[in-house]
Amino acid sequence: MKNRILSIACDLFGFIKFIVKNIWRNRRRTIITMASIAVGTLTLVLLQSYVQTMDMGLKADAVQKQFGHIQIAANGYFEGDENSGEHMMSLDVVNLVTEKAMELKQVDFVNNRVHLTGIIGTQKKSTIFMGISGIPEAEALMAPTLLKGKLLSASDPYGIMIGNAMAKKLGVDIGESLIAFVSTASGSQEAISVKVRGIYDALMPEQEKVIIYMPINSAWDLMLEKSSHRILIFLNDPAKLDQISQIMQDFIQKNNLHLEVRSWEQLAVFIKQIVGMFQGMIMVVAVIVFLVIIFNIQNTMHMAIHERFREIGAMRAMGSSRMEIVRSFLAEGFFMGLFGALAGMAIALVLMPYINSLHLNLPPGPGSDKPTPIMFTASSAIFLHALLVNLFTAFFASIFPALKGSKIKIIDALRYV
Amino acid sequence: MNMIELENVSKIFYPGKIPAIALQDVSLQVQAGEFLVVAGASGSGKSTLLNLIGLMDEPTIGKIIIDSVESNHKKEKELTHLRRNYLGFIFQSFHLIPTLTVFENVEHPLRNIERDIYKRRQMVETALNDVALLDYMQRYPNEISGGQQQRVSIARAFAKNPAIVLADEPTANLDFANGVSILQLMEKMNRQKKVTFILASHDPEILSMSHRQILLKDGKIMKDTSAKKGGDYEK
Ligand SMILES: Nc1ncnc2c1ncn2[C@@H]1O[C@H](COP(=O)(O)OP(=O)(O)O)[C@@H](O)[C@H]1O
Ligand SMILES: [Mg+2]
Repeated sequence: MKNRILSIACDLFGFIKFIVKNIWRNRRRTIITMASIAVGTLTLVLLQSYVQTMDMGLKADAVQKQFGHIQIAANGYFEGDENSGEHMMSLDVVNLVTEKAMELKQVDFVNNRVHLTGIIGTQKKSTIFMGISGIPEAEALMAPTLLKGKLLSASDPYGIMIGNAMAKKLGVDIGESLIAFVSTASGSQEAISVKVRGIYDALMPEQEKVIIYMPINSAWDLMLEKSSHRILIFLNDPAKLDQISQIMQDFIQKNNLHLEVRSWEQLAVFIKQIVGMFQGMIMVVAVIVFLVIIFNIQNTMHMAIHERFREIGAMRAMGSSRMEIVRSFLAEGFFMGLFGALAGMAIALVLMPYINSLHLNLPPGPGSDKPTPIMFTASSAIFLHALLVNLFTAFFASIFPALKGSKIKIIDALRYV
Repeated sequence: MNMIELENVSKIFYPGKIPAIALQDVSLQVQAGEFLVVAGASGSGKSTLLNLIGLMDEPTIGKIIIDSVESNHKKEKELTHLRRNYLGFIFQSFHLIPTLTVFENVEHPLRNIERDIYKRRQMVETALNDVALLDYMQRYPNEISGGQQQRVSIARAFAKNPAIVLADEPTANLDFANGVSILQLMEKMNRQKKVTFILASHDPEILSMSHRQILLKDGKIMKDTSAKKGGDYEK
């Protein structure tokens, strides 16, 4: 028994040695083939790590600045024409839910927001705005990058934050006053005076032009009622999302509150679309790269078989089966794939931290005026994926030449000079 | 006992439009342990005959019987099996595998025959000892002379103790002295191992050996010395 295991181990070792030596017979050709596999692996790892950075950035942003982890709103709100006057929650309901959420130790903080649209401006210039109004302390935590001035504060109930583009358009700066008008649910026009407390900088200029952040009290003054569109719950442990959602769901049911619960993943569908689009682009590049690899490997294998024509004939004459010939050429393809992929992964492992440290930028993406940083976020899943894809490709590309090599006529191979 | 029997074997190749008759109605019987020399000029059909006996090709007409087993219309798998277990080959241009050492070259065809590495190692060492190349077993083919390479291929052919060894012009790529020593070695192996040995050659040195000889001409057996004694045929 021990003897048999030892024999199998020795045979396996001998086989691998034989394969590796065969691969190494035409060094130049092998190096070119393995280099193409390495480049393919590197390309795949870099592209996916880049998209991973983007994906993680978008998700973090979506949670931190837009949605929170869990949102609660009146029945129909999420499906309906979102920010109309219907589907609002009264302050009592908001307070009840907020208190319940704050009891949970997994909850970091809770915000609630009302959305309103109107016109904002000075005596000279005005523009349309979309107001996001929340609890000032919570809004401070969710705020986009502050360019100038200060974040929202409870001590400054009429201090608002506007985008850099809007500030330029209206010609206003920190500390200056603006008038905000809205039409209320009852049809009247209301106006209040606010002050520019902060100027923010967002990725999208479109956002900077129209979105303003204001304390919820100022919004209530304009609306002439105290109600809210959505409650935003932030967790200190995102892994507990499902659990907390369930707790809130149960609470809503028990208290007969006509509310709905959504996770940020349900709300941020656009991330899936953006990332999906990039992954589609990666697929196209990957297909091209792998066609090149397949071509390269097939070529290498065909040449190897051609060069070893007589050897294959001699081995077959002495009793090697077709299967053995197929196996050894498949193994050659597999090992070229393995070594090439490992080389590509090693290069990626060195290159990515280096490029990250350079803080390079790409030109602004569509709809943005900010350069896109080139950052890679690698993961073992990405590496494993690239490795498997390459191994499979190399193996697959070798099947046809290997079968061809196994089907040679022995007498032709032996006569061949 | 007949180890090899050919019954009215013909082999026709179709390289182009005109068929080439490589063997024509050849009948032959070779005894177990016999040393047979197949003589004849280049193109007379020697290699074709050996290839058919070596189960590397099928006759166009006729039967080939090896150790009482008829080989016609056998599947590739069965042929592989028969070649593996019955046959050893010695080629004109050695056909050693350059990436394997002398030891590994002899071991390579044995992998499917003897799975136990200790027994297999023993077989390889015995074979290399028989051809006096034990000291060279870690060398690669390109690190030894042509004569030594042919001795490795003899060891490789005999290592599995085959019933039949076929040698196609084994001395053609060697100088006179090496050729003679290779011949002597093959004769010795044939005697010691009781292996049926068929050697194709047009080398005068071989033709002067006192073994049974058949002379091929245009694919036909012109002369078989088995009836008489010695190698006294006329050209
Ligand atoms: N694979 C083949 N295709 C076509 N013709 C062949 C083939 N093998 C041998 N022949 C022809 O058969 C005849 C015998 O060849 P061969 O057996 O190689 O002779 P020898 O070994 O005695 O020199 C020659 O005319 C040769 O051209
Ligand atoms: Mg010949």
